[in-house]
Amino acid sequence: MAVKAKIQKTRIDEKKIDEFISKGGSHPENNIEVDSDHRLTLRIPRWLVDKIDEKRTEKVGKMSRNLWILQQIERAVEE
Amino acid sequence: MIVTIGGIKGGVGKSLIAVNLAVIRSLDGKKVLLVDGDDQGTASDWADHRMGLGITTPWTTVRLKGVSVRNELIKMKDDYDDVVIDCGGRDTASLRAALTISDVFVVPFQPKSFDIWTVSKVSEVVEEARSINPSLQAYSFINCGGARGKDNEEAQDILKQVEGISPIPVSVGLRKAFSNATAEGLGVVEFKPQDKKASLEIKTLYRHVFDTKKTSKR
Repeated sequence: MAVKAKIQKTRIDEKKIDEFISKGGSHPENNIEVDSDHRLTLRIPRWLVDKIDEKRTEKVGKMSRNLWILQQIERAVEE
Repeated sequence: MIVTIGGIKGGVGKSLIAVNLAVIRSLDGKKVLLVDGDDQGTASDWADHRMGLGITTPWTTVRLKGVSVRNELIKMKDDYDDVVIDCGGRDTASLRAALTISDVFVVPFQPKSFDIWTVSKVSEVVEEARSINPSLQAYSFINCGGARGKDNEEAQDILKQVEGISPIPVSVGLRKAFSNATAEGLGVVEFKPQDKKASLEIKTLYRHVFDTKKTSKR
């Protein structure tokens, strides 16, 4: 077919979208709270990682590395 | 396909459902993005826990909040076969942002009056969302269903009467297998020994959410 109707692009009403979203409750200022955690990359020697893994799995209900390290840091800073 | 798990009542197991759907979708060979849009960060904590245990985690997990759920996903969604968004249990900007771009909205309800009473409010949000996203499909189902089948049936009957949200005929039970699997960083279908009932229920839900799009009624 040589003649085709022009495709009508649907215009998204951004204002309407913003209004709809902003009716939702209590996220402080959009993205600010996105991550109150601060992500750090640590360089840890292999032997220490192995030691951590050994410690965190020695009790029943083994813990993730992240959680185990976090607990140890919390203990250290609260002392 | 973008699937949002949400609602306006907390404590009904939304994160549990979101992560289990992400696991099954991923096991089906799909490239999945799991979005944690909940303040509590349960889904991303669980993903961290899983990776910390050294378990293969083929999907990607990100935390997004507020309007960025929409804005970032518009940029990211084409890189994935499917997106599963966990939006927590309140009428938040994150939930609403997710609904503007989702194909499917799945709302778990516990078979309790306080939970079921929120359905009309959820229905209003869905209706409003459809003025922006007309193709949004919404489903409800009973989660954390108890042993008393009568309560589950009564709750299902109430959900059937709600316009604009189609009830999925499945009741996902409050089974220990879910918490056992979660503690081990696993989806319930990955956990050994497998709880057949729990696996069957979550797979039934999964099939409805991912396969019934074309046949379901709005």
